Amino acid sequence: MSGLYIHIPYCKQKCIYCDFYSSATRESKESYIKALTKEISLRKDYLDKPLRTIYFGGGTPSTLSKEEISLIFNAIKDNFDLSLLEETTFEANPEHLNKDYLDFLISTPINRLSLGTQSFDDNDLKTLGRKHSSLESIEVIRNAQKIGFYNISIDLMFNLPSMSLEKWKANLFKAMDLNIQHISAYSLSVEEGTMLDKLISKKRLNIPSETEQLEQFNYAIDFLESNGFEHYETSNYAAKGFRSLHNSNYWNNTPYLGVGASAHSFNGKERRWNISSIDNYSSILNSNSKEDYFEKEILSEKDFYNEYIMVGIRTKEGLDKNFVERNFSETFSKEFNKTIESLLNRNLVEKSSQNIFTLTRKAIEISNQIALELIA
Amino acid sequence: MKNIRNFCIIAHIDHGKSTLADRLLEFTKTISSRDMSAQVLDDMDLEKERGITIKSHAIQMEYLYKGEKFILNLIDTPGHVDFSYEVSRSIAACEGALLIVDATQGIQAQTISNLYQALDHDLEIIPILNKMDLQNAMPEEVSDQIIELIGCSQEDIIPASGKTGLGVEAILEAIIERIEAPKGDVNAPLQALIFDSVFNNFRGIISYFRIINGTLKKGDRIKFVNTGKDYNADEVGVLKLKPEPRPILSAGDVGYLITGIKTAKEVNVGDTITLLDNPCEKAIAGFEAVKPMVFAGIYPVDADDYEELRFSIEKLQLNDASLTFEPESSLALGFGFRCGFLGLLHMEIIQERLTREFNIDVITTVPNVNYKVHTNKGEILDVYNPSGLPEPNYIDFIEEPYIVASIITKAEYIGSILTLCIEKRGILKNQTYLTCDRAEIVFEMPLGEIVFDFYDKLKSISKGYASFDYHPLDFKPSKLVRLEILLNGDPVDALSALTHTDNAYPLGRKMCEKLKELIPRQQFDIAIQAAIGSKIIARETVKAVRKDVTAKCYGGDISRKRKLLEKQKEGKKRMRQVGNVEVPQSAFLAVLKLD
Repeated sequence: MSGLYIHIPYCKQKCIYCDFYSSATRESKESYIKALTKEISLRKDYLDKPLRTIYFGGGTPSTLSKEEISLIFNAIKDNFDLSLLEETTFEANPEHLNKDYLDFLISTPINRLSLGTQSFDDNDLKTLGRKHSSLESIEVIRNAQKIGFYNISIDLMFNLPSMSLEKWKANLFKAMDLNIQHISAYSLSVEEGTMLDKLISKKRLNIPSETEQLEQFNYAIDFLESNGFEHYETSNYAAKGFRSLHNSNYWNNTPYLGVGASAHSFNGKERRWNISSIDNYSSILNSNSKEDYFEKEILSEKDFYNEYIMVGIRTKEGLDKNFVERNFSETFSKEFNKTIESLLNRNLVEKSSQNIFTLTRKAIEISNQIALELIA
Repeated sequence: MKNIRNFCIIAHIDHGKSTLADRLLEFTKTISSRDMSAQVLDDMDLEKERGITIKSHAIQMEYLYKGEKFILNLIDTPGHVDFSYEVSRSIAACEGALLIVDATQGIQAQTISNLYQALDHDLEIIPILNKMDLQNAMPEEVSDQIIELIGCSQEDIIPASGKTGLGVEAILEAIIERIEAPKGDVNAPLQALIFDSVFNNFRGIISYFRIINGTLKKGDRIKFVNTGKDYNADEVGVLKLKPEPRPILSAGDVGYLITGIKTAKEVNVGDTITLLDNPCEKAIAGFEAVKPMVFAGIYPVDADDYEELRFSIEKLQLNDASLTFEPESSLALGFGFRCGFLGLLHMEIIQERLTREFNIDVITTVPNVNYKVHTNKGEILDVYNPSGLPEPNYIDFIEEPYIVASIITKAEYIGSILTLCIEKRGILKNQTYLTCDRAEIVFEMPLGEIVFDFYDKLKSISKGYASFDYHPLDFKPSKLVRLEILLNGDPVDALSALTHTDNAYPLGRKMCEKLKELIPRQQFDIAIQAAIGSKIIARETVKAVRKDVTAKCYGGDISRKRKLLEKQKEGKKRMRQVGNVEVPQSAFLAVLKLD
């Protein structure tokens, strides 16, 4: 099985914490959609397995018009066998999802919404530069459910400027009231060069202390687990049977094709990423130019191993000693066993079942340090 | 012999010695301007870049003056205090010296000390005011300084500019008219002074010499008086732009000698060359065995490079006999070498040459001087390394080397310089005004105090204007302690330092603070402590990492995050393990530069 990722690099505004490549101007959108559909047809053979998931990510896919969405789906249908398609996710900002738009979405293969709610506190939303209100989020979720969306994920952020544990709890409670199936709970990360970074260094915003951040993280894990959500990846929680199939592809080595500017693909052997400039991407694809619109790297054994560790250690599935022994040469498995032994002794990993190792609670908070010890 | 003139140049760094020398070479057609890469005399890249002369050089010019052909031998001298012995030998090989002073800056400490050496050897001094083309030249004021210093008359001073070529002809005329021709007895037994040597990959060591008496022919059996070793003079010749072989050289000549010697150790600057069969009665006075003054451990960054490092240091020693080394090992840094240097600049040069010419990254430990430890049993131990210090109960007392330091500065900086020197345990010996706003301050100071961060501080408080020179004085008793740094209780030998009791507290505190900045957080708290014996005198803590988790890791993040992690892993691999603490290399280097 495999996945298809469609990148929509447009936003109506730039959020203060964002370091993604996205554009707030939409002049080039028409030629971008043209290039995107062309790339879909050019690369229909990139994956040799049928599609199980499609994912519209961004940027903000809900900046697309109904017509643009139709153009993209037509291209997909023309080039891919969708008979085994199980999950089609569409990322959206609440303020874009009016009834008409939702009615349209439900008429397409889209069966999962991922909503950029971020917080149910209007002050937070204002600080972050979001254009929706808490009320709007709630309404949109209800409307979507009314017309038949039964698989909804929301994004929530903790560690927001001036966020207290109480406020974070209130956000989580609110989410539980909404009968949603999935939550991506992210710690706000301050990326270099973002507006957020500047505001913090100018002391115009204060982010919670390390202790508070850990309290919020741990509270989310405990609270959501006690409400029936499994903590299946560092920042992801799902009701039973509602894990994101598409995102799980990234974490279990399933091939995926990414189309659009800056989209990444993986076919089991190489990783490939498209150029990030929207204009260059569009002009190369639309002009039949021989110029490459992507870069790629063939993964070495070490690369595969390091990715397995880095990604696997973040998941509930953990790291599998047998998998390592089967798939990697002895130098890797020996080193793996030695380090795992040491991590076990230090109570940083635990055996969740025969030959499967997962992070202990205290290690989840420092998972990069653990990955650093394990990688080659 | 009457048509030979041997002279050297005395100048401070940046006063334009090399450029002016190049003008002399051009004017006498020794080189054409086409062949000239700026500053011919400095052949090491390092010398060109730093604008200083590390090795002595010599070059022969021919000049037709009033219808007569003259041979002018210029012996260039190193321009840094670390190399003052070499300077003294170059001076001993000459009858005259050009005293080059930058007309925009005036006399500097280095100039004065070298000038005194030249006067001691009765050299004829030709004062030259250089950089006269510059707007901010102060010819009257600087001339006054020169007149005051050497007691010449205003007319003796030649205005010049290496840049425009002003004064070049007048300088050549002065060399011929004012400097005496060499005296010496061609028929006496050979007596030649070695003033430098260089290593050549194909020919071995090439010695540069000046014949005082007698003659030297190709094929002669010769002997070096101080080492007692004898050789065959395979080739002798004079130093033009390229060496030119000659069948015979005699008293007054400056030239080179090739004997097939492979190591620089056998050729000591200041040694006397004579004939094996007909030796001279005594060696030329002034010979000193070169003694390293500053010691530091040099370790390969990558432990696998140890043999490579040994090979490289051996190679460097071939052309730099003043570098000494012996194997040493450190718990923190593994296997390396304890090296002896003439001074701090020499140490930096060696370090840089290892990196540049041999492509080896090294870690250098805190430098120290050599101490004489008097034990209770009456023995005297030479200690070159903090770890070599015996336990306190075996020590009767310790002596450390002192120097006489001379600093020349603008009057406005005197106050802060005095403060600095006193901080560095200096004892003010003399203070004289050279002119109304330039003073020379003379201090006696422990050498150990200047090997650390004295230069940088002096430069910064005087805005770069103060100049500094020193000479070894003697050993004096001192209250020294070994300052140790502990990480989570484990001593880090590579960070320990011998220091005066009074400095131990501030130094310990600063080292702990600096290390706190440089040691990355790990999964547990790291205690950084400074200790004297069992007494802890300073402490800092690097707090444990409590949160290090990436929020998002999706399809587009994997490659980038893997590479980031791999880069971190590489850094981790290069760190040195002390107990359970990982210490980055930068920590070992940065303690050399504390504020």
